Amino acid sequence: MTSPPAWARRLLAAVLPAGEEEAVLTDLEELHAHRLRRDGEGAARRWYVRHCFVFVVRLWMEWAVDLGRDFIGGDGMGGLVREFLSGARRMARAPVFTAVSVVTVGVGIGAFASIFSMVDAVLLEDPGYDEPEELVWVWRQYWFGLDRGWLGGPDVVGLRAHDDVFEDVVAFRSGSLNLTGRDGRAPRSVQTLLASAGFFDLLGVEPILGRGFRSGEDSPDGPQVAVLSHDLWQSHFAADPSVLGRDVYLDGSPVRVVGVAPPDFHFLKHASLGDPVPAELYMPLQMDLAAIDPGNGMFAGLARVKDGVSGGQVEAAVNAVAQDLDDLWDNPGLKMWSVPLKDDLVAPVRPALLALLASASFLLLILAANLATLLLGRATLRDRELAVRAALGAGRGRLLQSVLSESAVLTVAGAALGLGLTFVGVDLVRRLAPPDLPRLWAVGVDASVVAAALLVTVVMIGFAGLLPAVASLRTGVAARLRDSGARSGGGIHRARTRSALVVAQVALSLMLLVGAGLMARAFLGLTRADPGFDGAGTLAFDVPLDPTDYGDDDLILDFEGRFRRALAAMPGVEAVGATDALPLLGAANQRGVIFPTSPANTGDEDADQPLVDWIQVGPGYAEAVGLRVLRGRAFRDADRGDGEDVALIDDLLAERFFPGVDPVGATLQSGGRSMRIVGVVDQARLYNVHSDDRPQVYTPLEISPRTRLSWVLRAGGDAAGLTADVRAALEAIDPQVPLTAVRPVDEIVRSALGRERLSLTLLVVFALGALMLAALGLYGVVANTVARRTHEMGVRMALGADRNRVVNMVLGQGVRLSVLGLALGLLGAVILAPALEGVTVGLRAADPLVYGAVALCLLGVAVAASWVPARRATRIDPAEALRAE
Amino acid sequence: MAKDLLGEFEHQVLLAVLRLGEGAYSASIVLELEARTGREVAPAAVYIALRRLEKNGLTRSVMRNASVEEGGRERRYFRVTPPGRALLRESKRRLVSLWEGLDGALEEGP
Repeated sequence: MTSPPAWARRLLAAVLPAGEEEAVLTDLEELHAHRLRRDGEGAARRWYVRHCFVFVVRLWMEWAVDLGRDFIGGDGMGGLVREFLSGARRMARAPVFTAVSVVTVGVGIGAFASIFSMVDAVLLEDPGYDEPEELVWVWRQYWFGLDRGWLGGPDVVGLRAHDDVFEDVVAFRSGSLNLTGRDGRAPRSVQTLLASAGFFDLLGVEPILGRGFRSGEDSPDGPQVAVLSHDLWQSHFAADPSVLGRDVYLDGSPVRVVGVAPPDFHFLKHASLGDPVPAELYMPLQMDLAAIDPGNGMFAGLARVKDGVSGGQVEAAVNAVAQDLDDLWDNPGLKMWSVPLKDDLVAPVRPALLALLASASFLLLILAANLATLLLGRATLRDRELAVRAALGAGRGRLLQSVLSESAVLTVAGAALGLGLTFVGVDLVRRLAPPDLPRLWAVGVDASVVAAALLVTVVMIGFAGLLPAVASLRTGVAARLRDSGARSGGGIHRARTRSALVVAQVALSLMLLVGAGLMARAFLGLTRADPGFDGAGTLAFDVPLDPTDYGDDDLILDFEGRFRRALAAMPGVEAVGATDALPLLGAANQRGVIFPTSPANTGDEDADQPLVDWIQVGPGYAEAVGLRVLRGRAFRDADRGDGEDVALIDDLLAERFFPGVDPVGATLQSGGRSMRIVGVVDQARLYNVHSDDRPQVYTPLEISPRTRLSWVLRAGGDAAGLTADVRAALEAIDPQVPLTAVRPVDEIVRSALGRERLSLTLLVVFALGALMLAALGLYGVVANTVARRTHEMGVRMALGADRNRVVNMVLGQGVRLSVLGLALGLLGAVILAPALEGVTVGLRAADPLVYGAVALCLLGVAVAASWVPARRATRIDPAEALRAE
Repeated sequence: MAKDLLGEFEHQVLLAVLRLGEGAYSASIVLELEARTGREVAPAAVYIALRRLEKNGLTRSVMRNASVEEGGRERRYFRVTPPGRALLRESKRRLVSLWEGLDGALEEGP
């Protein structure tokens, strides 16, 4: 006769109450035999397996229901409180254990809540606008890999005409203006947002003082008005309400203050408008949009979609506008698209934040497992007490309360500490976070963060407390009385639970360590990536000129020359130069260029006229910022005024348009102007450190001098120490001009990697914490085994067992558990690592070096953690061990 | 009080124990119920029902070795206690009185 599957039988036997196994299994076998005769082998087998599972589930349900009834019944709340207090007293008698546990739980909960505060602010909370889900960005899509191109004026007018789809469409540009000190105060540069008159209404924001923009204020001849951000109102105007109706001077022109925005309103600029820092001042965008040449992409566009309009209708409207423009202005292949506001703002940081949240959750899991092993160890110590209480008639509910009380005391104290640490953690996160993290100002401890911390606490109590409690209760009273002595480990079941928990800890730590290792490798790659310039020993700063004082190109060039010569004359200065687009800040203009003599021209207009980043630089800039001149030369002072226009191109353009030919001497045309190429430079990364595929052309400042210039000064060792001298030099030339954004070029590089640095720092901290916890857990389990088997080892050694064998036996246990954990962890890491690839550019999930190094490191820690108790085992004095019986 | 604790399934199990007499153990009860109700019965459900019945004093059980022909292994045999019998009698009386005069009513719907 075919017998039923043995594994199902063993599974059921494991959960059946002691003494019942044989009777139940015999009955089941009889029923199986009956099915076998009636339904055949396959059906009988399936029936048996299914009913074994049903049995397991029903038994557990019964058990849980009974236990719950016992727990709530009995003495009710009074008993619970009494147990909690007695738990607290017991914990107070073990101060070291208690302190260590409370601190680890506190740190874990604090870390989790701090990360959650970031996730909450950036990904979960609303941006503070009216019905933000109705808001969409609209972009132009260019063929050369610029998928978020700015809209032209007619685009906005065309979109507004689709008033069946859009409630309103707002165009805006960002910039900075000098808030000048006609009132005797130092000049200051403020971040401004120029927006269509419907801006505040579109977002549903009511100024707390005064008003927003009135319709018509955005016409070219509209009044000069401004709404202040709450921060600027507080910092610059001392929160004085009488500022309403007063004029302030922006770039020298009077502008009337008509309103102050509410404190919680920060308009989040899209990354295409520069760093997503909040604007400080809002002014109407006074332009005749319809009259602007559609070839000029000038605005970010934000639209509010009408109620009940589908995504498809929005897409159709956007496409129709693009088509109309295409037909009307002969702009071949113009495409436009829309994307929901919030998605677009948070998309770049979402993977990193989710990875961090997952890591923090892993850390908590490890922590809970660690606490559970520690409590299991303590429950062992309390076995005899519990057994006596049970023998004296205490119900299971009472015993459960008693066992749970310890974990509850620990976790509640830990949670209190954790909440306190959350405030510190959030502060730390805000300080570490890169300024371009959207909604950074909203990161803080609020109700949802506290709720998350509490939820985590409850789960911890449940997980860390119930597991040992269940293990305790499953051991019968008799068995407990019999076993509870120095030798006892509280039954084989409990030992298995502890081993399983240690395996889980090792596995989870490995996964965290692999994550951190992969991030570290990627980050290292990024810091080593060659940005195409050399920022060491340099200082960068902005010197924005007031256009009313410098309305003339000659005035600007004269200032540039005087200031440059003054700086160059300062002791220690090796090179100095000005530019309109510092590296990595992505602030350059774009222009189409052609190379009439290029051997690589195809005749296809689109391909032969690449859109390039058009960077204007003064003499000395190339040396100052460390641009590498590959061929020809950089600009020099003599280029100015000798009649011929000159330009530099980067290696990308040189390779594409002059393959195998020397481009120096060839001509470049743009906007009807011809320039002679005098040199080829290595591309200096303009957008991010790791890659750039947008070609660059450098031209001298005098082609179209700009009032907003950034300067770079190279001074070898202590460039930053020259700040005061630079300020003095500037004041000597024009005291009305502010000196702003002073920082080394290296600082720009560092902050360009800020997001990656934050993710990496946190991941490494979590991973090291996890490693420590796993080592502690392993140590605890192995040490406990040694303590439990002192007697046995004493006997072995009395009988002449070799000390090495004892060491190997103990070490073997630790190593076996770690290897199992490592195997499971590696599996998990291989499955989860690809999710990290979105976090950092250049992260390679399949990196055997990282996996190997991490596994070896963990194994080393595991051996070390087992070594300590193993050594202790060899020092057991056989006589002592036997006497202790 | 105990009467109210008796669910429909427990009621059926109790009747099966009564019917099987000396030969009532969980496997035979499962087969008996399946034969009489024509539905599949989960052994776990019978096991748990038997535990509850015993806890409420409606059945009593003993562990006994089965005869050699049946494999000679341990089995738990059940029988209905006097309170169990009283409960069954009472519930039958109630049902019968509820059914009185209703035999015709099921033949046709209103």
